[in-house]
Amino acid sequence: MADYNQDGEQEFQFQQENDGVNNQFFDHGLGNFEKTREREQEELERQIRAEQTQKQVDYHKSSQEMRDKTRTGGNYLPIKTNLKQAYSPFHIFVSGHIESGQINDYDGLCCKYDFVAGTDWQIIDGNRSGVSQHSYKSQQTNRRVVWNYPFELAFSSTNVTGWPQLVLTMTNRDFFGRDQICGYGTVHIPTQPGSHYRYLNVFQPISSSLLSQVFGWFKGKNAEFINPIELLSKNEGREVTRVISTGVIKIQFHVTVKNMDEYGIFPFKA
Amino acid sequence: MDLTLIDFSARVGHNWTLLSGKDTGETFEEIKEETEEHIIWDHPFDIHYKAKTMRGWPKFFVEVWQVDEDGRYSISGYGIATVPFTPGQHTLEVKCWRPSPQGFFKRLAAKILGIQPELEFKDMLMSSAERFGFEAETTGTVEIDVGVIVKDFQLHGVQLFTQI
Repeated sequence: MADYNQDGEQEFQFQQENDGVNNQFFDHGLGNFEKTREREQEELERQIRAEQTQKQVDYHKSSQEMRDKTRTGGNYLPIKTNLKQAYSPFHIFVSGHIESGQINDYDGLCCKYDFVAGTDWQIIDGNRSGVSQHSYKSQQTNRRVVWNYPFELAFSSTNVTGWPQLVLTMTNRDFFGRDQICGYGTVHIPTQPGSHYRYLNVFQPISSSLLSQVFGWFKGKNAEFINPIELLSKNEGREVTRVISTGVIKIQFHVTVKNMDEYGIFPFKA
Repeated sequence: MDLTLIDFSARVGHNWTLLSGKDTGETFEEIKEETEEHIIWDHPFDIHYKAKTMRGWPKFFVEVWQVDEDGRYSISGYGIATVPFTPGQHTLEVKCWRPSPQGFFKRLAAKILGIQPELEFKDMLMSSAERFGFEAETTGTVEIDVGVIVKDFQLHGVQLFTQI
Protein backbone atom coordinates (compact mmCIF):
# COMPACT_ATOMS: atom_id res chain seq x y z
CA MET A 1 0.00 0.00 0.00
CA ALA A 2 2.45 2.66 1.03
CA ASP A 3 6.08 2.84 -0.02
CA TYR A 4 8.19 2.29 3.14
CA ASN A 5 11.32 3.84 1.63
CA GLN A 6 9.65 7.19 1.47
CA ASP A 7 9.04 8.11 5.10
CA GLY A 8 7.27 11.32 4.58
CA GLU A 9 4.56 9.80 2.53
CA GLN A 10 4.03 7.03 5.02
CA GLU A 11 3.73 9.46 7.83
CA PHE A 12 1.31 11.60 5.87
CA GLN A 13 -0.83 8.63 5.19
CA PHE A 14 -0.88 7.62 8.80
CA GLN A 15 -1.82 11.10 9.83
CA GLN A 16 -4.63 11.09 7.36
CA GLU A 17 -6.00 7.84 8.72
CA ASN A 18 -5.64 9.12 12.22
CA ASP A 19 -7.53 12.23 11.29
CA GLY A 20 -10.33 10.22 9.83
CA VAL A 21 -10.77 7.82 12.72
CA ASN A 22 -10.20 9.94 15.77
CA ASN A 23 -11.74 13.15 14.64
CA GLN A 24 -14.58 13.01 17.11
CA PHE A 25 -12.25 12.39 20.08
CA PHE A 26 -9.69 15.08 19.38
CA ASP A 27 -11.81 17.76 17.87
CA HIS A 28 -13.94 19.48 20.46
CA GLY A 29 -15.26 22.22 18.27
CA LEU A 30 -18.70 22.99 16.93
CA GLY A 31 -17.78 21.27 13.67
CA ASN A 32 -17.78 17.91 15.39
CA PHE A 33 -21.30 18.42 16.62
CA GLU A 34 -22.46 19.39 13.16
CA LYS A 35 -20.81 16.35 11.67
CA THR A 36 -22.56 13.96 14.03
CA ARG A 37 -25.86 15.66 13.30
CA GLU A 38 -25.22 15.19 9.59
CA ARG A 39 -24.56 11.52 10.09
CA GLU A 40 -27.72 11.09 12.10
CA GLN A 41 -29.70 12.88 9.46
CA GLU A 42 -28.19 10.74 6.74
CA GLU A 43 -29.12 7.61 8.61
CA LEU A 44 -32.63 8.88 9.12
CA GLU A 45 -32.98 9.69 5.46
CA ARG A 46 -31.69 6.28 4.55
CA GLN A 47 -34.26 4.68 6.83
CA ILE A 48 -37.04 6.81 5.39
CA ARG A 49 -35.96 5.95 1.87
CA ALA A 50 -35.88 2.25 2.70
CA GLU A 51 -39.35 2.47 4.20
CA GLN A 52 -40.64 4.28 1.18
CA THR A 53 -39.22 1.78 -1.24
CA GLN A 54 -40.62 -1.04 0.86
CA LYS A 55 -43.98 0.72 0.84
CA GLN A 56 -43.84 1.09 -2.90
CA VAL A 57 -42.95 -2.55 -3.35
CA ASP A 58 -45.78 -3.56 -1.03
CA TYR A 59 -48.19 -1.26 -2.86
CA HIS A 60 -47.20 -2.72 -6.20
CA LYS A 61 -47.61 -6.22 -4.89
CA SER A 62 -50.98 -5.51 -3.33
CA SER A 63 -52.22 -3.61 -6.36
CA GLN A 64 -51.13 -6.43 -8.59
CA GLU A 65 -53.06 -8.82 -6.38
CA MET A 66 -56.02 -6.49 -6.46
CA ARG A 67 -55.81 -6.27 -10.23
CA ASP A 68 -55.72 -10.01 -10.46
CA LYS A 69 -58.72 -10.33 -8.19
CA THR A 70 -61.01 -7.58 -9.42
CA ARG A 71 -61.87 -6.22 -12.83
CA THR A 72 -62.37 -2.49 -13.07
CA GLY A 73 -62.65 -0.15 -16.00
CA GLY A 74 -59.89 1.43 -18.01
CA ASN A 75 -56.51 -0.16 -18.30
CA TYR A 76 -56.21 -1.40 -14.68
CA LEU A 77 -56.67 -4.97 -15.72
CA PRO A 78 -54.58 -8.11 -15.29
CA ILE A 79 -51.82 -8.28 -17.79
CA LYS A 80 -51.06 -11.89 -18.15
CA THR A 81 -48.17 -11.71 -20.55
CA ASN A 82 -45.22 -9.37 -20.47
CA LEU A 83 -45.53 -8.77 -24.17
CA LYS A 84 -48.79 -6.89 -23.84
CA GLN A 85 -48.74 -3.23 -22.97
CA ALA A 86 -51.26 -1.90 -20.50
CA TYR A 87 -52.33 0.83 -22.89
CA SER A 88 -52.19 -1.19 -26.07
CA PRO A 89 -54.93 -0.33 -28.53
CA PHE A 90 -58.02 -2.25 -29.51
CA HIS A 91 -58.79 -3.10 -33.08
CA ILE A 92 -61.85 -3.11 -35.28
CA PHE A 93 -62.03 -5.00 -38.51
CA VAL A 94 -64.77 -4.03 -40.93
CA SER A 95 -65.62 -5.75 -44.13
CA GLY A 96 -68.67 -5.29 -46.27
CA HIS A 97 -70.31 -4.06 -49.40
CA ILE A 98 -72.19 -1.06 -50.59
CA GLU A 99 -74.75 -3.37 -51.99
CA SER A 100 -77.64 -1.71 -53.76
CA GLY A 101 -79.74 1.39 -53.89
CA GLN A 102 -83.25 2.48 -54.65
CA ILE A 103 -83.16 5.95 -56.13
CA ASN A 104 -86.16 6.89 -58.19
CA ASP A 105 -85.27 9.85 -60.33
CA TYR A 106 -81.71 9.13 -61.38
CA ASP A 107 -79.77 6.54 -63.33
CA GLY A 108 -76.11 5.77 -63.92
CA LEU A 109 -75.40 6.08 -60.23
CA CYS A 110 -71.90 6.09 -58.84
CA CYS A 111 -71.14 6.17 -55.13
CA LYS A 112 -68.02 7.30 -53.33
CA TYR A 113 -67.39 6.17 -49.81
CA ASP A 114 -65.09 7.78 -47.24
CA PHE A 115 -64.32 6.50 -43.77
CA VAL A 116 -63.95 9.26 -41.22
CA ALA A 117 -62.74 8.67 -37.69
CA GLY A 118 -61.56 10.70 -34.72
CA THR A 119 -58.02 11.83 -33.98
CA ASP A 120 -57.09 8.78 -31.91
CA TRP A 121 -58.07 6.42 -34.66
CA GLN A 122 -55.73 4.96 -37.19
CA ILE A 123 -56.44 2.99 -40.31
CA ILE A 124 -54.01 0.09 -40.23
CA ASP A 125 -55.10 -1.55 -43.39
CA GLY A 126 -57.46 -0.98 -46.29
CA ASN A 127 -58.64 1.88 -48.46
CA ARG A 128 -59.97 4.95 -46.73
CA SER A 129 -62.05 5.91 -49.72
CA GLY A 130 -63.19 4.46 -53.00
CA VAL A 131 -65.32 5.25 -56.03
CA SER A 132 -67.61 2.64 -57.47
CA GLN A 133 -68.73 2.01 -61.00
CA HIS A 134 -71.72 3.69 -62.66
CA SER A 135 -74.63 1.40 -62.15
CA TYR A 136 -77.69 1.45 -64.35
CA LYS A 137 -81.11 0.15 -63.54
CA SER A 138 -82.16 -3.14 -65.03
CA GLN A 139 -84.51 -3.29 -67.98
CA GLN A 140 -87.09 -5.14 -65.93
CA THR A 141 -89.55 -3.44 -63.68
CA ASN A 142 -87.23 -3.49 -60.68
CA ARG A 143 -86.04 0.02 -59.88
CA ARG A 144 -82.93 -1.07 -58.04
CA VAL A 145 -79.29 -0.34 -58.85
CA VAL A 146 -76.52 -2.67 -57.72
CA TRP A 147 -72.90 -1.81 -57.07
CA ASN A 148 -71.73 -4.61 -54.79
CA TYR A 149 -68.74 -2.46 -54.06
CA PRO A 150 -66.59 -4.00 -51.34
CA PHE A 151 -64.58 -2.33 -48.59
CA GLU A 152 -62.27 -3.91 -46.07
CA LEU A 153 -60.63 -1.88 -43.32
CA ALA A 154 -58.84 -2.41 -40.05
CA PHE A 155 -58.91 0.36 -37.45
CA SER A 156 -56.97 0.69 -34.24
CA SER A 157 -57.59 3.13 -31.44
CA THR A 158 -57.01 3.74 -27.76
CA ASN A 159 -60.14 5.82 -27.37
CA VAL A 160 -63.73 5.11 -28.22
CA THR A 161 -64.77 8.66 -29.10
CA GLY A 162 -64.67 9.43 -32.77
CA TRP A 163 -66.02 6.05 -33.74
CA PRO A 164 -65.51 5.63 -37.50
CA GLN A 165 -68.23 6.72 -39.87
CA LEU A 166 -68.98 5.98 -43.48
CA VAL A 167 -69.75 9.02 -45.60
CA LEU A 168 -71.42 8.37 -48.94
CA THR A 169 -71.46 10.75 -51.88
CA MET A 170 -73.61 9.78 -54.83
CA THR A 171 -73.34 11.05 -58.37
CA ASN A 172 -75.57 10.31 -61.30
CA ARG A 173 -74.92 10.46 -65.02
CA ASP A 174 -77.51 12.37 -66.99
CA PHE A 175 -78.57 12.24 -70.63
CA PHE A 176 -75.59 14.31 -71.80
CA GLY A 177 -73.07 12.19 -69.89
CA ARG A 178 -72.50 14.76 -67.18
CA ASP A 179 -71.89 13.64 -63.62
CA GLN A 180 -73.85 15.47 -60.98
CA ILE A 181 -74.18 15.17 -57.26
CA CYS A 182 -77.43 13.48 -56.32
CA GLY A 183 -77.09 12.37 -52.74
CA TYR A 184 -75.20 12.45 -49.49
CA GLY A 185 -75.46 10.20 -46.50
CA THR A 186 -73.59 9.12 -43.43
CA VAL A 187 -73.69 6.14 -41.10
CA HIS A 188 -71.58 4.88 -38.21
CA ILE A 189 -69.90 1.50 -38.38
CA PRO A 190 -72.04 -0.82 -36.24
CA THR A 191 -70.58 -1.07 -32.74
CA GLN A 192 -71.76 -4.62 -32.30
CA PRO A 193 -69.63 -7.39 -33.79
CA GLY A 194 -71.43 -9.52 -36.35
CA SER A 195 -73.21 -9.03 -39.65
CA HIS A 196 -75.40 -5.99 -40.11
CA TYR A 197 -77.43 -4.32 -42.80
CA ARG A 198 -77.78 -0.59 -42.80
CA TYR A 199 -80.35 1.25 -44.87
CA LEU A 200 -78.94 4.68 -45.49
CA ASN A 201 -81.35 7.41 -46.52
CA VAL A 202 -79.53 9.79 -48.78
CA PHE A 203 -80.42 13.42 -49.34
CA GLN A 204 -79.47 16.19 -51.68
CA PRO A 205 -79.16 19.92 -51.01
CA ILE A 206 -81.47 22.17 -53.02
CA SER A 207 -80.57 25.57 -54.37
CA SER A 208 -81.42 28.60 -52.30
CA SER A 209 -83.09 30.44 -55.19
CA LEU A 210 -85.04 29.43 -58.24
CA LEU A 211 -82.66 31.32 -60.53
CA SER A 212 -79.58 29.42 -59.41
CA GLN A 213 -81.56 26.22 -59.69
CA VAL A 214 -82.39 26.99 -63.33
CA PHE A 215 -78.79 27.97 -64.06
CA GLY A 216 -77.60 24.79 -62.36
CA TRP A 217 -79.96 22.75 -64.47
CA PHE A 218 -78.54 24.28 -67.65
CA LYS A 219 -74.93 23.98 -66.54
CA GLY A 220 -75.40 20.41 -65.36
CA LYS A 221 -74.36 21.25 -61.84
CA ASN A 222 -76.78 20.74 -59.02
CA ALA A 223 -76.31 22.34 -55.65
CA GLU A 224 -73.56 20.55 -53.76
CA PHE A 225 -71.61 20.83 -50.54
CA ILE A 226 -68.11 22.28 -50.78
CA ASN A 227 -66.61 19.92 -48.20
CA PRO A 228 -69.18 17.16 -47.73
CA ILE A 229 -67.02 14.83 -45.64
CA GLU A 230 -66.21 17.47 -43.08
CA LEU A 231 -69.81 18.64 -42.93
CA LEU A 232 -71.53 15.27 -42.80
CA SER A 233 -69.27 13.65 -40.23
CA LYS A 234 -69.86 16.47 -37.75
CA ASN A 235 -73.03 17.70 -36.14
CA GLU A 236 -72.47 21.39 -36.72
CA GLY A 237 -72.85 23.80 -39.58
CA ARG A 238 -76.00 22.20 -40.93
CA GLU A 239 -78.42 24.94 -40.09
CA VAL A 240 -80.51 26.76 -42.74
CA THR A 241 -79.50 24.22 -45.42
CA ARG A 242 -82.48 22.86 -47.29
CA VAL A 243 -82.25 19.27 -48.39
CA ILE A 244 -84.50 16.84 -50.20
CA SER A 245 -84.56 13.09 -49.79
CA THR A 246 -83.57 11.11 -52.86
CA GLY A 247 -83.51 7.43 -51.94
CA VAL A 248 -82.25 4.56 -49.87
CA ILE A 249 -78.88 2.77 -50.03
CA LYS A 250 -78.38 -0.67 -48.56
CA ILE A 251 -74.98 -1.28 -46.99
CA GLN A 252 -73.73 -4.52 -45.57
CA PHE A 253 -71.29 -4.50 -42.66
CA HIS A 254 -69.37 -7.36 -41.11
CA VAL A 255 -67.64 -6.23 -37.93
CA THR A 256 -65.26 -7.84 -35.49
CA VAL A 257 -63.59 -6.24 -32.51
CA LYS A 258 -60.34 -7.31 -30.93
CA ASN A 259 -58.98 -6.74 -27.40
CA MET A 260 -61.89 -4.51 -26.45
CA ASP A 261 -63.15 -6.47 -23.48
CA GLU A 262 -59.59 -6.96 -22.29
CA TYR A 263 -59.29 -3.23 -21.69
CA GLY A 264 -62.72 -2.95 -20.15
CA ILE A 265 -64.62 -1.56 -23.12
CA PHE A 266 -67.88 -3.30 -23.83
CA PRO A 267 -69.53 -1.97 -26.97
CA PHE A 268 -72.55 -4.24 -26.60
CA LYS A 269 -74.72 -5.90 -24.01
CA ALA A 270 -73.17 -9.20 -23.05
CA MET B 1 -85.82 -22.46 -73.19
CA ASP B 2 -83.57 -20.61 -70.82
CA LEU B 3 -80.38 -22.29 -69.64
CA THR B 4 -78.44 -20.80 -66.78
CA LEU B 5 -75.35 -21.95 -64.94
CA ILE B 6 -73.13 -20.60 -62.20
CA ASP B 7 -69.38 -20.65 -62.05
CA PHE B 8 -68.56 -20.03 -58.42
CA SER B 9 -65.44 -19.85 -56.31
CA ALA B 10 -64.60 -18.95 -52.75
CA ARG B 11 -61.80 -16.40 -52.57
CA VAL B 12 -59.55 -15.75 -49.62
CA GLY B 13 -56.64 -13.44 -48.92
CA HIS B 14 -53.02 -14.15 -48.06
CA ASN B 15 -52.38 -16.03 -44.82
CA TRP B 16 -55.47 -18.11 -45.43
CA THR B 17 -54.94 -21.72 -46.39
CA LEU B 18 -57.43 -24.20 -47.69
CA LEU B 19 -57.27 -27.29 -45.50
CA SER B 20 -59.90 -29.42 -47.16
CA GLY B 21 -62.71 -29.17 -49.67
CA LYS B 22 -62.92 -27.69 -53.11
CA ASP B 23 -63.29 -23.95 -53.37
CA THR B 24 -64.24 -23.69 -57.03
CA GLY B 25 -67.07 -25.26 -58.94
CA GLU B 26 -69.56 -25.06 -61.74
CA THR B 27 -73.20 -25.97 -61.45
CA PHE B 28 -75.45 -27.84 -63.84
CA GLU B 29 -76.94 -25.98 -66.74
CA GLU B 30 -80.37 -25.52 -65.32
CA ILE B 31 -83.40 -25.15 -67.54
CA LYS B 32 -85.91 -22.72 -66.16
CA GLU B 33 -89.51 -23.54 -66.86
CA GLU B 34 -91.80 -20.64 -67.40
CA THR B 35 -93.96 -21.59 -64.46
CA GLU B 36 -91.02 -21.59 -62.03
CA GLU B 37 -90.18 -18.49 -60.14
CA HIS B 38 -86.58 -19.33 -59.31
CA ILE B 39 -83.78 -21.21 -60.98
CA ILE B 40 -82.63 -23.95 -58.65
CA TRP B 41 -79.08 -25.28 -58.85
CA ASP B 42 -78.67 -27.02 -55.47
CA HIS B 43 -74.94 -27.08 -55.67
CA PRO B 44 -73.24 -28.19 -52.45
CA PHE B 45 -69.89 -27.08 -51.08
CA ASP B 46 -67.88 -27.88 -47.97
CA ILE B 47 -64.78 -25.80 -47.41
CA HIS B 48 -62.39 -25.72 -44.46
CA TYR B 49 -59.96 -22.85 -43.98
CA LYS B 50 -57.17 -21.96 -41.61
CA ALA B 51 -56.35 -18.29 -41.00
CA LYS B 52 -53.66 -16.13 -39.50
CA THR B 53 -55.34 -12.77 -40.04
CA MET B 54 -58.82 -11.40 -40.30
CA ARG B 55 -57.95 -9.70 -43.56
CA GLY B 56 -58.93 -11.83 -46.49
CA TRP B 57 -62.00 -13.37 -44.88
CA PRO B 58 -63.61 -15.67 -47.47
CA LYS B 59 -65.86 -14.25 -50.12
CA PHE B 60 -68.05 -16.01 -52.58
CA PHE B 61 -67.56 -14.99 -56.14
CA VAL B 62 -70.30 -16.05 -58.53
CA GLU B 63 -70.46 -15.73 -62.28
CA VAL B 64 -73.86 -16.34 -63.84
CA TRP B 65 -73.82 -17.45 -67.46
CA GLN B 66 -76.82 -17.86 -69.67
CA VAL B 67 -77.28 -19.84 -72.85
CA ASP B 68 -79.68 -18.54 -75.46
CA GLU B 69 -81.65 -20.45 -78.08
CA ASP B 70 -78.71 -20.60 -80.50
CA GLY B 71 -76.39 -22.10 -77.89
CA ARG B 72 -74.38 -18.94 -77.31
CA TYR B 73 -72.98 -18.39 -73.85
CA SER B 74 -73.13 -14.87 -72.56
CA ILE B 75 -72.48 -13.37 -69.16
CA SER B 76 -75.53 -12.64 -67.11
CA GLY B 77 -74.00 -11.29 -63.94
CA TYR B 78 -71.08 -11.08 -61.60
CA GLY B 79 -71.65 -11.11 -57.88
CA ILE B 80 -69.64 -11.06 -54.72
CA ALA B 81 -70.71 -11.84 -51.16
CA THR B 82 -68.78 -11.87 -47.93
CA VAL B 83 -69.27 -14.95 -45.76
CA PRO B 84 -70.79 -13.69 -42.49
CA PHE B 85 -68.47 -13.44 -39.50
CA THR B 86 -71.03 -14.83 -37.10
CA PRO B 87 -71.36 -18.59 -36.86
CA GLY B 88 -74.71 -20.07 -37.77
CA GLN B 89 -76.96 -20.58 -40.75
CA HIS B 90 -77.20 -17.69 -43.16
CA THR B 91 -78.81 -16.93 -46.47
CA LEU B 92 -76.73 -14.64 -48.63
CA GLU B 93 -78.44 -12.63 -51.31
CA VAL B 94 -75.83 -11.89 -53.91
CA LYS B 95 -76.88 -8.99 -56.04
CA CYS B 96 -75.38 -9.27 -59.50
CA TRP B 97 -74.42 -6.83 -62.21
CA ARG B 98 -72.73 -7.04 -65.56
CA PRO B 99 -70.71 -4.51 -67.54
CA SER B 100 -72.96 -2.66 -69.92
CA PRO B 101 -71.89 -2.15 -73.53
CA GLN B 102 -70.47 1.32 -74.02
CA GLY B 103 -71.23 3.25 -77.11
CA PHE B 104 -74.15 3.16 -79.52
CA PHE B 105 -72.86 0.38 -81.85
CA LYS B 106 -71.81 -1.91 -79.02
CA ARG B 107 -75.24 -1.48 -77.51
CA LEU B 108 -76.81 -2.27 -80.84
CA ALA B 109 -74.63 -5.36 -81.21
CA ALA B 110 -75.60 -6.49 -77.73
CA LYS B 111 -79.25 -6.15 -78.59
CA ILE B 112 -79.21 -7.76 -82.01
CA LEU B 113 -76.32 -10.21 -81.93
CA GLY B 114 -76.29 -10.92 -78.21
CA ILE B 115 -72.66 -9.91 -77.74
CA GLN B 116 -72.22 -8.94 -74.14
CA PRO B 117 -69.01 -7.45 -72.78
CA GLU B 118 -67.23 -9.53 -70.13
CA LEU B 119 -64.73 -8.74 -67.46
CA GLU B 120 -61.17 -9.67 -68.28
CA PHE B 121 -59.79 -9.14 -64.78
CA LYS B 122 -62.40 -10.50 -62.42
CA ASP B 123 -60.37 -9.68 -59.33
CA MET B 124 -61.62 -6.11 -59.62
CA LEU B 125 -64.82 -7.30 -57.98
CA MET B 126 -62.92 -8.15 -54.85
CA SER B 127 -60.98 -4.92 -54.60
CA SER B 128 -62.22 -1.50 -53.65
CA ALA B 129 -60.05 0.18 -56.24
CA GLU B 130 -61.57 3.05 -58.11
CA ARG B 131 -64.18 2.17 -60.70
CA PHE B 132 -65.18 5.63 -61.84
CA GLY B 133 -66.15 5.69 -65.49
CA PHE B 134 -67.10 2.04 -65.59
CA GLU B 135 -70.73 1.49 -66.51
CA ALA B 136 -72.63 -1.51 -65.27
CA GLU B 137 -76.11 -2.87 -65.47
CA THR B 138 -78.13 -4.43 -62.70
CA THR B 139 -79.29 -7.96 -63.43
CA GLY B 140 -80.49 -10.31 -60.71
CA THR B 141 -79.98 -12.02 -57.41
CA VAL B 142 -78.32 -15.31 -56.47
CA GLU B 143 -79.10 -16.93 -53.14
CA ILE B 144 -76.48 -18.90 -51.25
CA ASP B 145 -77.32 -20.86 -48.12
CA VAL B 146 -74.25 -21.10 -45.97
CA GLY B 147 -73.57 -22.49 -42.53
CA VAL B 148 -70.56 -21.01 -40.77
CA ILE B 149 -68.60 -22.66 -37.98
CA VAL B 150 -65.67 -20.86 -36.35
CA LYS B 151 -63.08 -22.19 -33.95
CA ASP B 152 -60.57 -20.65 -31.52
CA PHE B 153 -60.97 -17.02 -32.56
CA GLN B 154 -61.53 -15.97 -28.96
CA LEU B 155 -58.06 -17.24 -28.03
CA HIS B 156 -56.63 -14.35 -29.99
CA GLY B 157 -59.00 -11.80 -28.53
CA VAL B 158 -61.16 -11.61 -31.64
CA GLN B 159 -64.87 -11.27 -30.96
CA LEU B 160 -66.96 -12.48 -33.84
CA PHE B 161 -70.31 -12.40 -32.10
CA THR B 162 -71.89 -10.80 -29.06
CA GLN B 163 -71.28 -13.37 -26.41
CA ILE B 164 -68.48 -13.52 -23.85
